[in-house]
Amino acid sequence: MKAPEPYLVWRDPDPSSVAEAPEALGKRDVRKWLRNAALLALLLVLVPPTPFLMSPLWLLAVATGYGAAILIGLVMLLPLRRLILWPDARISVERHKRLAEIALVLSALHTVLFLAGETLTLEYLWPSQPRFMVAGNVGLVVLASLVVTSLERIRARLFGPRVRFRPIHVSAALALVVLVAAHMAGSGIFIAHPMKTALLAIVSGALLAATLRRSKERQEPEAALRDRGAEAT
Amino acid sequence: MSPRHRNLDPGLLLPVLVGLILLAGLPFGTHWLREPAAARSEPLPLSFPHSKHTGHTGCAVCHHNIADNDMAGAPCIHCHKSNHPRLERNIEGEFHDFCKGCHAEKARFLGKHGPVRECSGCHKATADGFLP
Repeated sequence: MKAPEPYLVWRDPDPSSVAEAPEALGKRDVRKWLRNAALLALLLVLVPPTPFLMSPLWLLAVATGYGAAILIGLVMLLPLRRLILWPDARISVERHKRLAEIALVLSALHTVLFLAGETLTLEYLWPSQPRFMVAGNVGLVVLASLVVTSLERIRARLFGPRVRFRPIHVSAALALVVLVAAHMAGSGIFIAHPMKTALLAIVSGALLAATLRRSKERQEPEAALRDRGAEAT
Repeated sequence: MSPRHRNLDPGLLLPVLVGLILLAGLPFGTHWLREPAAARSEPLPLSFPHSKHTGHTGCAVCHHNIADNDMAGAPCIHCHKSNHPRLERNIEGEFHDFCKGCHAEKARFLGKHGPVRECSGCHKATADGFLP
């Protein structure tokens, strides 16, 4: 029998208990409401005041950058055990890695499209680049490092056991969130209002704070293994 | 440690705290983020077609020293890129905000407007503009 994937999220809510308990149903409604509110807030952040003022190439280049930023947020959010926004979401380590790889590809595309479509952006490779571009360029390097060092063979060689790898990996991911937020706010493409910048800071801060929560595996290793065994059978 | 806090990862407290402090400064630091990390050796070419700005933009919007009667036809950069520490500081961010802000404001109300995004819309050498 094929071994189950090592899930970062170990336990799903039991649907039958939710259906039987009216208060649990109420909680689920609140969660749905919160999720919709969060999506609306995200749209308010993303929608620019002047949406069609850039060329299609610029729009595509910006879209790939925003796509990468959203994926980075999802890659960090989905492994959390108790989710407010997506209570039923769960993600395996493999899918966590695939999403991060897609985010890296989108980020690289974002860079290439700008360099190819707007040759003046070559200036952003020199030391005289604006600070928000320093954040963007360093962020790309950090994201690439996160993806590469997560490859099984490289991780084992550089860090040895997972216990040593995780704090460094998560700390680098936290730095990446701050760098991406600085890049988005500084570029001022869509985040062009103090209120939007504040909202971006709050969303990014919530993402940082959410990573403080331990996964069930690290809280109760035996219970996590028991759950995994139950899933396999 | 209380049961409520047992679920928190103490090893990540410091990096999260540092990140939160940096993010708290983000709404106040956007202008700082737009400044160059290192001094630019050569300014980028800049086109400012004067003819396109006269008529619907008041002179004093750009020539804020018009009342002092010391304009002398010099481009803005001559003062703002001088060694005067107050003027030289944050000049790239200020000029980008000033020009793009005005263009975007006109675009928002569907009026005729200048470039708001593409770098090459302004940063090019043209006959009716000037090279700082």
